[in-house]
Amino acid sequence: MSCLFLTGSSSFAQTNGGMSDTTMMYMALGLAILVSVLVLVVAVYVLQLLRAFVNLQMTEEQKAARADEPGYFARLWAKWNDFKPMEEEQDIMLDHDYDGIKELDNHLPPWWKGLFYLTIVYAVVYLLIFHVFKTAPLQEEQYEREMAAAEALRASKEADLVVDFDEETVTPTEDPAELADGQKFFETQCALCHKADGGGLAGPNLTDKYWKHGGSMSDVYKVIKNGVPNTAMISWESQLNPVRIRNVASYLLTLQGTNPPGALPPDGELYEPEN
Amino acid sequence: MELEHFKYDNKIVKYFAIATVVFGLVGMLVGLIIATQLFLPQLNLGIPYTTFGRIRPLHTNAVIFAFVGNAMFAGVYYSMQRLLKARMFSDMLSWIHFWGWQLIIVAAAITLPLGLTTSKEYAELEWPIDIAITLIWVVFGINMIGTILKRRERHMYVAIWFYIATFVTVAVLHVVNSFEIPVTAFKSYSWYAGVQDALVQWWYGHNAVAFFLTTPFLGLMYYYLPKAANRPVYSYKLSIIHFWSLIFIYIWAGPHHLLYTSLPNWAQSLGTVFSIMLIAPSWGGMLNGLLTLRGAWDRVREDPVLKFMVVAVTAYGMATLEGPLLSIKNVNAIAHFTDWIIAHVHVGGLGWNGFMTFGMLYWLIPKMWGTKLYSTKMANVHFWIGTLGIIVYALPLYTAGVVQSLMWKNFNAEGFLEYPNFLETVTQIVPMYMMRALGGLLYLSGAIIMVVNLVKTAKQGSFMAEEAAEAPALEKKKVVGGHWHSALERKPVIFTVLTLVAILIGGVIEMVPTFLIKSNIPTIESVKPYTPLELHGRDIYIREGCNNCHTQMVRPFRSETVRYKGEYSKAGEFVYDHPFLWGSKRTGPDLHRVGGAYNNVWHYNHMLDPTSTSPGSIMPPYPWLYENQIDPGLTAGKIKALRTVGVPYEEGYEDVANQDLKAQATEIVTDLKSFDVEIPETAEIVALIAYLQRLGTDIKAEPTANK
Repeated sequence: MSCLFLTGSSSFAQTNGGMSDTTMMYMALGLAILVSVLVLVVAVYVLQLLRAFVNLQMTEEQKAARADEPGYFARLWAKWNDFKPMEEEQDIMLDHDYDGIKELDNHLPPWWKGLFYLTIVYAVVYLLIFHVFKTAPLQEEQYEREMAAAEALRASKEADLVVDFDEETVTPTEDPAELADGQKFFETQCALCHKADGGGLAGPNLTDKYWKHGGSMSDVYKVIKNGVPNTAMISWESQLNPVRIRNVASYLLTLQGTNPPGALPPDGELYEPEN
Repeated sequence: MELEHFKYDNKIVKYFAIATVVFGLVGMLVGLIIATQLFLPQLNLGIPYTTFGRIRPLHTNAVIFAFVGNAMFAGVYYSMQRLLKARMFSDMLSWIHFWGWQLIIVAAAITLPLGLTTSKEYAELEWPIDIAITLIWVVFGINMIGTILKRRERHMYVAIWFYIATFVTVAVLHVVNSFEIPVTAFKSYSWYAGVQDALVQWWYGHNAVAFFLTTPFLGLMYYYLPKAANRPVYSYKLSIIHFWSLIFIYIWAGPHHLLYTSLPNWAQSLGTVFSIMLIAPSWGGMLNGLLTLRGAWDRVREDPVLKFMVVAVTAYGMATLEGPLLSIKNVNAIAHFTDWIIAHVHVGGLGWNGFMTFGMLYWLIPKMWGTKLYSTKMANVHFWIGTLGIIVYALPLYTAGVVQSLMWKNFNAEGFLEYPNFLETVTQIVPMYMMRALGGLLYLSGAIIMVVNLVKTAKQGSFMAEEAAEAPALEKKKVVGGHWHSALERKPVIFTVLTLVAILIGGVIEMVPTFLIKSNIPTIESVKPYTPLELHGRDIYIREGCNNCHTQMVRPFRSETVRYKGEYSKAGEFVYDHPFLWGSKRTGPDLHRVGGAYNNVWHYNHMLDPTSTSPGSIMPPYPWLYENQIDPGLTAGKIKALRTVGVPYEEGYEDVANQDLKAQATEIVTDLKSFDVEIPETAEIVALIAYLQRLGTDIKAEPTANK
C-alpha cells in the first residue's frame, strides 16, 4: 500500500484495448477488495462454526470460566494499547484536579507510536526519492512521460499508414466509410464549437460559402492540421493522422449549402469552388 | 491560604450560546439554499445578492466564524473560568468581544451579498472588517491571557493549552493573510500576487481549519467530554505529545491544497509529507477522547451528550485520516477540484464541529439553567436525524467527486477525451447534488429540533447569571520541580511564546524561499499587466465570485491540456494577479485558457443566459452585468494601488489609462455590433469579456516559454 502512495500519479495514458491504466487499476483494486471481503466472510463463518463445536463439548464449569475471561480481540486490543487494567487505575491517577477533571497517566498506545514513527519514515523516504535521489518524477516530468506515452501509442497505430498526398495536393475522399469516420469525428469533437450540423456556435458557420481562412480542400485541411493562432481552433496534427484530417475536411465540405436552422451569419470571404 | 470568594460569569456564555444557535441555523439554511441552487439555479430569484458566487462565501463565513466561532467562545468562556478558578479578566472586554464579533458577522452578512469580497477563501471580508476582526481578536486574547494570569489554579490544564494555541495562531494567520492595499472603502488588492498569494492563502486556509475548527474544539473536548462522562482523561502523556506535534506539524501542511499547481515542487512535497505525519498527532486527540470513555461506554448508550461527542470525535478521526490521504499526489490528482473535497470538509464540519457543539449545548444549557434537559427523546431524534443527514450528505458527494473526476480524465481508444464537453460531466452528477441537499435538509431539521428542546429546557429552569465559587488564591511562592512540562504549565507567558515559535517555523520555511528565491517563479517575458478595462473586468469576476465555481489552473495532466487546449499553467503567468484566482473547485470548467477560445458574442450570450449556448448548464444568468456600468473614475485608483504592490504600470499611466480603456471597449462593442448586439461601452459585461479574452493568452505570444 505504501509503495502505491509513494509514487506520484500514474500516467493516464491508455494501453491495450483503450482501457486506461487507472481504469485497470480500479478494476483490479475492486476485484481484490471483493475477494478479500469474500475470504473474510468465509473465515468468520468457519470460526463461528468451530466455536459452536467447541462449545458443544465443554462442561458447564468450563463455559462459566470462559465467560469471565476477556475474548481474543479484547486482549489483543488491550495489548496494542498497553492498557492498565481498570482496577489499577488509581495507581496512575495524577494528583491534579481541574474543576473535577482528573487525569490518568496511561502510556502512549504502542500502535499509535508505531504509526507516528512510520509516517516520519515515510516523509523522509518521500523527500529523498523525489528531491535528493530524484528517482521518481516530479510533475513536469510526469507530464512529459504521459504525453510521450500517448504519442508513442498514436505512432504505433499509424506505422503502416499510406499517405499519398500532402496539404497542397489533397482532394476530398468519396469513400463512404471514410466520410462516416469524418462525420463521427466532426460530431464528437468539432461540434463543441461549430455545432453538430456545422451551423456554428463559438466557432464560425461552416455550411455557407464564407470562409475566414479559405474554402478550398487544401485550405480547410491546413486549418484543421495547423489550427489558427490565438483562437480556439487548435492544431489537430498531434491527434489526427493525415488520412483522418482528410476524412474530416471532406465530410465538412459535404455540409456546404445545407443551410441548417439557427446558423450563424456569414463571416469572412466568399469562396466559390473553381469547377 | 485563605479561601477567596468570587463568581463565574454565566451571562456571557449564555449570549454566545444564543448567538451560536441563531447563526448556526442561518448558516446552515444558506448552505441548503446554495446546495439547492446547484440543481435549481433559478433559486437565486434572478437577483445578484442571492447568487451562488456571492452567497457561497456567506455560507462558509457564517458556519465557520458565526456558528463555530460563537460556539467556541461560549465553550471557552464557560470552561476557562472554571479550569482557572477565576472570573474572566474583564467583563467589559467580554462584552466588547461579544458585540464586536456579532457586528463583524452582521457586516459580513451585508457585504458578501453585495459582492464586496477579496475572493480569498474564508478571508473574503474586505479590509475595514479585517481590521475589526484583528481588534476584536486582540480583545479576546487580552481577556484570555488576563484570566490565565490571575488564575487560582497553579497549572494550566490541556484545554487551556489548546485555547492559547488557537489565539496565537489565528492572530498570526489573519494578519499575514490580510495584507492588502485599499483601493476604496470596501475594495482592496492582496499584497501578494500569483503563486505567493496562493501559498499564503492556503497556509491561512488550511490552518483556519486547524486553529479555528480543530484546536479550540479539542480544547472543548478535553473539558466537556470528561465532564459529561465523569471519567478521568485517559493519558496526560498523550495530551502533551499530541498537542505539541499537532500544532508544530499542522502549519506546514497548507501546500497540499496546491498539489499539481504552479507552486514549486519542493513546497508541494513538504505539504504532502507533513500532512502524512499529521495523522498520528490528530489521532492522538481522538484516542484521548474515546479512551476517556473507557469504562463508561454503557452510559454512551443513554446519554445524548456523550452520543453526540462520540460521533464528533469519530468524525474528527475520519476526517483527519482522509485529509492526509487526499494529500498524497495520486489520490489528490483524482479528488482535487471535485465534490470529494466538499464531502470531506462536511464530515469535519457537520460531524466534528457540529456534533461537538450540539453535545456541548445539551450539557451546558441544563447546567446553567439549573435543570434537566427538557426531552432526552427529542435529543435522541436529533442525534439520529443528524447522523443520517451527514451520511446522506457525504456519500452522494463522494460518488459525484470520483465519477466526475474519472469522466474528466477518460480518454477513448482513439486517444480523445471521451467527454470533451465539460457539461456532460456536470449533468451526470446533478442527481447526487439533489441527494446532498436532502442530507443538508435532514441535518438542519435536527438542529431545529434541538433549538426547541433547548428553549423548553431554559423555560423550565431558572438562569444563574452569576455562579458563586471559592478557591484559595495562588501563593506567591516559587514552585520548583516536577516534570519539565508540568513546570511549563505553570508559566503561561513562556508557554505562549513556545507555542508561537512552534507555529512560526513551518510557515517561515515555506514562505521565505518562495518570496525571495527567483527560480521558484520563473519569469515569462511576454506576460504583461492587465489593461484598465481588463482590471475592471477582473474586479467584476471577483465581485460575482466566479472563482467559487471556476478554477484558473490547468494542471500538468494530458487530460487537462487537451481539454483546455493549451499549455498547463506556469508560475510566471500569475505575477500580476493580485489576488490569485486559481479557485479550489470546478463546478464549471477551468478558465485559465479561455482567452480567445470563444468569440465575444458567445460570452455575451452565455452570461445573459448560459443555457442558450450550453443547454443544461447549471450556471445562473447574470442580466445585471448588462445594465450596470463600470465607473471609469475608479481606474486611476486601481492602477495606483497595483503599482504600490509591484505591478509595473508606468508613472503617470493612471492619468491616461481611461483612453486605453475606451479604445478596448470600443473594439469589443464594434465586434459585438457585427452580430447585431447593441451594448454601451461602459456596460460591465464588456469589461468582463475583455478580462476573459485576456486570460491565459500572454504565454501564447512566446512559443517557447521559459521553463
